[in-house]
Amino acid sequence: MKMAAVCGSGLGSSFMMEMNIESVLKDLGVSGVEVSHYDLGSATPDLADVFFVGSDLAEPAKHLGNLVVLKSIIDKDELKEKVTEVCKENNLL
Amino acid sequence: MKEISFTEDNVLLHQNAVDWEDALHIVGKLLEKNGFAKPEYTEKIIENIKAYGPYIVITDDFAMPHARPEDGVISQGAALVTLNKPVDFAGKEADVLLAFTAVDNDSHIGLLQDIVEMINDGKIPYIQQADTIQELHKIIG
Repeated sequence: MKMAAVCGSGLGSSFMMEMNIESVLKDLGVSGVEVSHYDLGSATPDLADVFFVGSDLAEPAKHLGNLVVLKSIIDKDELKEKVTEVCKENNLL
Repeated sequence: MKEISFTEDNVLLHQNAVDWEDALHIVGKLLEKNGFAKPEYTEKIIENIKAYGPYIVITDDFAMPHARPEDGVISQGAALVTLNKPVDFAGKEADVLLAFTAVDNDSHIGLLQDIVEMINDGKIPYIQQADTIQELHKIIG
């Protein structure tokens, strides 16, 4: 499956989220997930199965479809909980 | 810290900024002085914040000013400014500003790893208190 992190510029928050998602997946022992980062302007629904965004983009990123909204983009506990949920939904855990 | 090196050239400690735009100009001038960005880079960040909110404040007290490569980036780099008093970025306060420039979507990965490490290790409040570059180096290792 494909996971994507999205932010306004596609360089800062989204890239950090991508790194943290990858590290969470590694901790969980989940493999076969492709993670990438995009800016809101170039992200389209076909690019990933699930999109992680900070709460400030919850509304503007609605068109992407399957959104996971993070209260804090750098809180690893929150991220772990939400990535675990996505993995369970997709039978990766 | 693997990628970012803080020196007298790209760090200004205990600055006084009247507001968030002033703070961005202080750190933006450092990026310019080091040949990382043109003045339009700072203006673009200000424009983006006015349009989309304080996207650069990613955790308490910490701002990571940046825009896109096409917004006036010359080369990849980083600059650090700490403030005596926090400034308010549309509802979110920050007193440590670490600006960076990226030349494409991925090459600055090491730079962001350094920043993530500093945040995860809880170093931001200590960085704000540093009085000298030497102290800063002790804090961030």
